[in-house]
Amino acid sequence: MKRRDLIRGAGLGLCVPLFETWNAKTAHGAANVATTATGAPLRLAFVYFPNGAQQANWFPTNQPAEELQLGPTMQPLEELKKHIQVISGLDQLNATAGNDGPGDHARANATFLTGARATKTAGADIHVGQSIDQLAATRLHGSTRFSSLELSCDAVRKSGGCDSGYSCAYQYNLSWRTATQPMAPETNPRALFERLFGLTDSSQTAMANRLSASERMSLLDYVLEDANDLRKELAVNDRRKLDEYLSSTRDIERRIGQASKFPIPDVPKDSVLPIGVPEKYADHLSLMFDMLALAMQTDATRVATLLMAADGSNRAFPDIGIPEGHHYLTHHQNETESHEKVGKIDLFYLEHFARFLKRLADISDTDGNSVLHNSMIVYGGGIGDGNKHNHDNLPIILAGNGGGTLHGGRYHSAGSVPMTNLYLSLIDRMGIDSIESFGDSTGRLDSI
Amino acid sequence: MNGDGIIALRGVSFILASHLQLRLPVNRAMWPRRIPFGACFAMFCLTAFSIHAADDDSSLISTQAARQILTQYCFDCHADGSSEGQFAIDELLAESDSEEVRRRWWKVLKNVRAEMMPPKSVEKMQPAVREQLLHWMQRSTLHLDQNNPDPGQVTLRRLNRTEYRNTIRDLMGIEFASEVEFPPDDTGHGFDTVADAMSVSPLLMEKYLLAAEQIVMEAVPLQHRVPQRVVVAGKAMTAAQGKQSAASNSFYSPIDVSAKFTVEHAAEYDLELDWEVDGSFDFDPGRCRVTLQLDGQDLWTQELAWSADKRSTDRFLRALPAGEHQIRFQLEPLVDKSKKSADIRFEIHEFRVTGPTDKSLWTMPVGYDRFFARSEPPLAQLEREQYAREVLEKFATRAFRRPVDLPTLDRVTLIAVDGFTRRGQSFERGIARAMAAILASPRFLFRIEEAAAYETLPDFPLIDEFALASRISYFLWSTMPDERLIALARSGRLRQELPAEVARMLADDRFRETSQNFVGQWLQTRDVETISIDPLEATASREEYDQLREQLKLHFGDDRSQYDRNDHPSEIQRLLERYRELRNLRGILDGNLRRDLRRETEALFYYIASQDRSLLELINARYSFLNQGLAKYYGLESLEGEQLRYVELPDSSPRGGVLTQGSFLIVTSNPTRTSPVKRGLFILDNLLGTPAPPPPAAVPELEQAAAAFSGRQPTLRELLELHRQDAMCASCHDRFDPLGLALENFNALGMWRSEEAGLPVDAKGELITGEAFSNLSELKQILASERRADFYTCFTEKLMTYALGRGPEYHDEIAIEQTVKDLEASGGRFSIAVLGVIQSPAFQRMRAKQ
Repeated sequence: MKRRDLIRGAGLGLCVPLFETWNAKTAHGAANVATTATGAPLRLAFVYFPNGAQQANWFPTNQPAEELQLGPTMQPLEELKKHIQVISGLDQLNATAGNDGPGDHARANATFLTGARATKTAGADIHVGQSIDQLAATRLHGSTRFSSLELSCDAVRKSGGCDSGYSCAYQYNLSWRTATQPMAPETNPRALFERLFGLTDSSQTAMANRLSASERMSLLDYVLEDANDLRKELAVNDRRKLDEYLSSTRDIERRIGQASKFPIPDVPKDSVLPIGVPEKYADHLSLMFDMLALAMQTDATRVATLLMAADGSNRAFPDIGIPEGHHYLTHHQNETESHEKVGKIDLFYLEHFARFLKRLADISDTDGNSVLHNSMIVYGGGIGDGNKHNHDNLPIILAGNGGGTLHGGRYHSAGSVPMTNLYLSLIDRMGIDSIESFGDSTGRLDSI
Repeated sequence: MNGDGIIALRGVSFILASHLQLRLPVNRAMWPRRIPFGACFAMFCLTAFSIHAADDDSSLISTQAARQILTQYCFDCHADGSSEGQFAIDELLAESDSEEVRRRWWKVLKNVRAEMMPPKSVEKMQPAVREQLLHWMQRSTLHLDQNNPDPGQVTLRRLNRTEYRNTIRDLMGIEFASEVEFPPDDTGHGFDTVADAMSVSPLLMEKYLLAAEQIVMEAVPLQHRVPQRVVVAGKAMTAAQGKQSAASNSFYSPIDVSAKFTVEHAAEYDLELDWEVDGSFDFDPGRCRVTLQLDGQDLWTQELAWSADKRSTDRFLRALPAGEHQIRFQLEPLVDKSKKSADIRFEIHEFRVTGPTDKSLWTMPVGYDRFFARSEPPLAQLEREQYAREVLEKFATRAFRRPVDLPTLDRVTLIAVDGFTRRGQSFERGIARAMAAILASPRFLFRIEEAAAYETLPDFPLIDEFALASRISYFLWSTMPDERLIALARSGRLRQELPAEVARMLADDRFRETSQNFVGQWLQTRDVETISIDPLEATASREEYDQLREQLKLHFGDDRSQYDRNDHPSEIQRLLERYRELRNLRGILDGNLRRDLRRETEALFYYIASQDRSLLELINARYSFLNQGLAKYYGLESLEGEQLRYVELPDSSPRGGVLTQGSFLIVTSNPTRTSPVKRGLFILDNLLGTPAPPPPAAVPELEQAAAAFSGRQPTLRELLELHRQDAMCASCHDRFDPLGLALENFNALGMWRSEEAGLPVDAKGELITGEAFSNLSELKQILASERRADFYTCFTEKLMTYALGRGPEYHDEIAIEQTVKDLEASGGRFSIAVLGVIQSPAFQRMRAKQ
């Protein structure tokens, strides 16, 4: 019996908490999950923008009805109209104060994909809920090279405390593998590129003596074995941290095990090769969207998140004539100038998103449709109006046609229902069955 | 109270083993949730006595006495149906003991200690009474037991990015850019050392694995003997004069360049030329002859024609005498420049000399002896395996910061043996692979702690000395313990030599970086490098600037040269000069200045810490660390040079202490104006340790109130005064507004101003605790005298949070109180705070593993 088998046989699976429901059935059934009726990959992505939206400019100019008439903020989406729906009346009530007092930005961020209430803590007992992308990722595990990708443009973080006594983990992570383990996002476009397409020349040279695949496997065997032994010696509380280590390592082990199934793709033509984190935020944002598009195009993953900026971001936009900070501006009630500036910032974010969508619309997928046609992309934030810090009627755009299952070109109201209802309807389309509820969901959103 | 009742913490860890404490069991489950008044009182007496029966603590007042104090000072607002701030102390008194109840008492204790309660408007509490009450709360409500102190829960800590980078540097001898390669660490309680906030995501794990491989392959020599290798880059081949080099040359320009290199032995060497023809996409008729000569003899010559891209390496074996040699490169064009249609160039990337080819002349590679004790591995298999074990035991002990257990050593040895036997790799390559496994192991990435074997307190044992060595080292150096700390731990002498070791570590250069990590996060100094701020808006000169630009444009038209001249009519000249002034202001906060502002605060802190001066100088120093740029920025007498240095501040200068430093003043401002609220809150949070309660939802914004000033731009002081007319707003704003407004003489850029919105700045105010001041310097005086204990407490808590990797807890109270007393007695010396943290039960002990 080989040592690898021995480790498996020794019941590693029993020691690692069952974070994932990955099993042979899902892997084999990969043909019907995250796949369109025409057999193309179906992607699910979430893009977050901070501090709510300047309401008057955000929502379409007509009443919720069939025809979509874009308001000022969404002008960049005009030519993509048939691919998008604007949905009003979606709420994240677990982001409201409740008994937790202030901290709307931290909660907005933490609740957005989880639909759960974040435990108010500056450190101990961090707890929110599994995020919808991770629910999808764990179910789809094995159908693509990466179960999911997490991206963020917050390469430099504010030091000191975060929002009103909430740990910064809530604000800088959108995606939660479990209720207690955030998925750290990648902020460096170069590193992301290397994950997608292998090491670039410069890194390759430094790695002239890399380990072979089998050496890597035996290294993983060792650390898993070691961690498993160590786990027995630890106090209960410490085991949680080691469990994160174990489950993350097993993830990688599986990925390496499937390497032959998912060869590293060639870099698509005309792709930029990023060097690192650009100095200008706008450039950084563009590059991260480019990387996301590449990942979707090459089917590296079917589940992704991009946090453009953590909620509460006080970034100034001097290049578009806004010297004030974003968060600061959102708190100027009824002052026309501030309103306009917040609208301009919303537009700035949306322009980047529109550019990304256009790119996806121009890429032809395996079934002849565009990648955008075969995607479901939620664009939005966890705060409605930045001035009010409300968490109902969130600014939400659903882009992509879900392989023909989403009906774009519309503005409609969900009434007043949990955002998680929308998530469930998307998860259904991903071919993930038997999820009855998620977060605070009360049903499905059938109108999409 | 004289403090005798509390065992001095100094050395407490060493004597505790001999203390046996009699504890009476109290069946808390039997307590009703609500109990009648009298019963409650009796119960409290009982609890107090039962727990402290063995204490000879004459200064502890009875619960009856405590109740009298509380009745006199607190009940008016917080009892008998009154519950200001949603708090009723009579209800709290009636609660039976629980963690949650203790946390509520802890809040009361902190408010009483900081003299926030009772408020100054109510009867003044005598210091002696306050002391009695505080002591009673510690003992009888928080149930702190100094003879069996709860160290709290420190979750398993992984190395953060900084610690990882430094540990790799010390362990492997190479620099690894973890801040580029790893995602940022999540923080908690304001620090990136807080264990609970740091997780291991699949992304990070992937990066850990890749890094382990990359680091080992870069740092560990894979052979025990290597040939000498000289690399002459193309750009290093130059002509005696001019800028020509062999790096890249057109086929149409002749060139003759050379370089020298040296070989050690008279022997045969392997020579390689790595070259490339780099042509434009379109054909070009250019041709040339290239020649490489070694010591005057042709080595290589070729006639080349257009090729879009052709790279090649040519090799030669040559016997060379020992000593210096010359390599010469010539390019001779064969087609006239006039024929050139596109572009074609010849490039030499490198000329490499490797050798001698005779292996017996090879030498030990650089860094070999860092990892390998012998100059070469033994040949016999058994000896080889035994030696591999020795090498890996030494390495793993260093990497894990504690002795490696046998099963682990067996496993890593097996990895190495598998490499150099079954896979036919070199001995060193096998070892390197095992080392990569060690660097990816949780024992390296996490700080594994064990209890000391000789401990006698079963619930809260001392940590063993290896764990202690790591705790101190990561606290003071942000890196692994050095050989000396490990040696002391091994011989069990670290605890007894702790003060001397701490002194040694504070004097070491490694402490400098930690001091930056700490202060950079505590005072958010780091953020000054990235925060957005608009100098023109911040100085209310944007409009003027735009107008000037328009005016000058009208006058000069598109003739840019006019802007540089100084012979304009006086009216225009005046406008131009003001324009230049504002243009400079606009770009003033460049990268250099921001970096210097950060360094100034870091330098002040490091000076106080490394010279073991009083922490109060953080508030009231009459010196700072400046260079040319900073002195100019602060409007001080000019200095020369980039280097920051100690400068005594003139009496006339308002600067001195962190509150007057650009870093603090900028990071607490909005991008376009100062924020007295942010500044005030910052002082409460980070200097006084008395954070204000959070604001209620939907507070009207300041600017909204501007309507009341009928068109006139009000000052921030006026706006805040208006805001405070609402009693609810005032209850909190009274705490921080006066602090922030005292700093209004500094604009959002941290520059001095005497006016704001056209009115003279009024910096006077009064603290919530009653001390009045008329300007910032008096406020600083108050912070460093009357409110000194608050500052010491706050500082100790911050340092403790950073050191322990968890937030302060109520059971840390005794240690914090003792440290503050010691700081008082020592005049606030930094090392006292460090020792206070290091000798606290929280640092010395752990909760027994369950």
